[in-house]
Amino acid sequence: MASTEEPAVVAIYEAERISGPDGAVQRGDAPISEADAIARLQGAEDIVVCGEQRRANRNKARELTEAAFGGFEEDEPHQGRMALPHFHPPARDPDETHAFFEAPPKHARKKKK
Amino acid sequence: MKYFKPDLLARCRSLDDEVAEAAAEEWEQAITDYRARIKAIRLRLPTGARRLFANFSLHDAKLLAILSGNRIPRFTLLVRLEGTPSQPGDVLELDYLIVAGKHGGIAFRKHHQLPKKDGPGAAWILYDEFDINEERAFFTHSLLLTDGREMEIRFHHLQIRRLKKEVILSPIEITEEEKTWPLVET
Repeated sequence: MASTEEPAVVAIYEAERISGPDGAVQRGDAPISEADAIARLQGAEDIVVCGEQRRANRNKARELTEAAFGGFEEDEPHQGRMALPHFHPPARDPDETHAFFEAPPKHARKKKK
Repeated sequence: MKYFKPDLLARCRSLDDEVAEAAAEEWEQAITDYRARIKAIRLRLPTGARRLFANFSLHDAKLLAILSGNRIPRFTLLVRLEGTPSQPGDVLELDYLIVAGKHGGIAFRKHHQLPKKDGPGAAWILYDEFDINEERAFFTHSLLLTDGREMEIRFHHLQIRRLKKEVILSPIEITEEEKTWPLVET
């Protein structure tokens, strides 16, 4: 029997890490396209996949990292209060590049205006 | 690692969504348990450990160098904290006074559930845990590295220093020119 469940909605945003022990991630105002997300990762900048379902967010973040670099390394959040799980490029090259994903109730922060 | 266990991390990384999600819930519980442990022992930890925990995250910090005393039980890690595009990460020096004797020192372990994926010679810190060995009255700092190695450092004292003005050079950056310092007036 075919599933009647709606596919989970995910949105991809530019992301910025806030330095410090909390591990907070701040997201941009407007969603970006998958092509822009891949280009951003390839330019050693961060993205975050947002949505209410962890599984869908994780799968999209992994898919984008793999599309950008041909592979991925996955990290769980550290002990910081706001830390999110994320993917790195394989062998962390380029370094300091992350595809974060929300794991409700843990969310990215909205950028303050 | 008592909380951020390598086998749990390996399950969190599973491509089987059901396995990964069950493990992620265990991971969140591990974070809660570790925070509770730190809260319970915080005031007994040495100042350096408290300062490190309160102000910095070692997650994704790059391990630059390890200095190990030969006769003196000192052990020093030089790590570069993860930076942001606008601000490169600080370099921290973690200088431990190691517990001497057969129950002290540093234990190195390899966790084969976490296969090595980094380039040769490169390692980053994934997770770290402070604790107290109540029976033997010393502190421990366990660090799990990206290549699956774990260091359990048994120490009495930890001093951390933020290297803000020092420059770390790789051999390739040493050029044929003079490097001088101004005289210090006393």
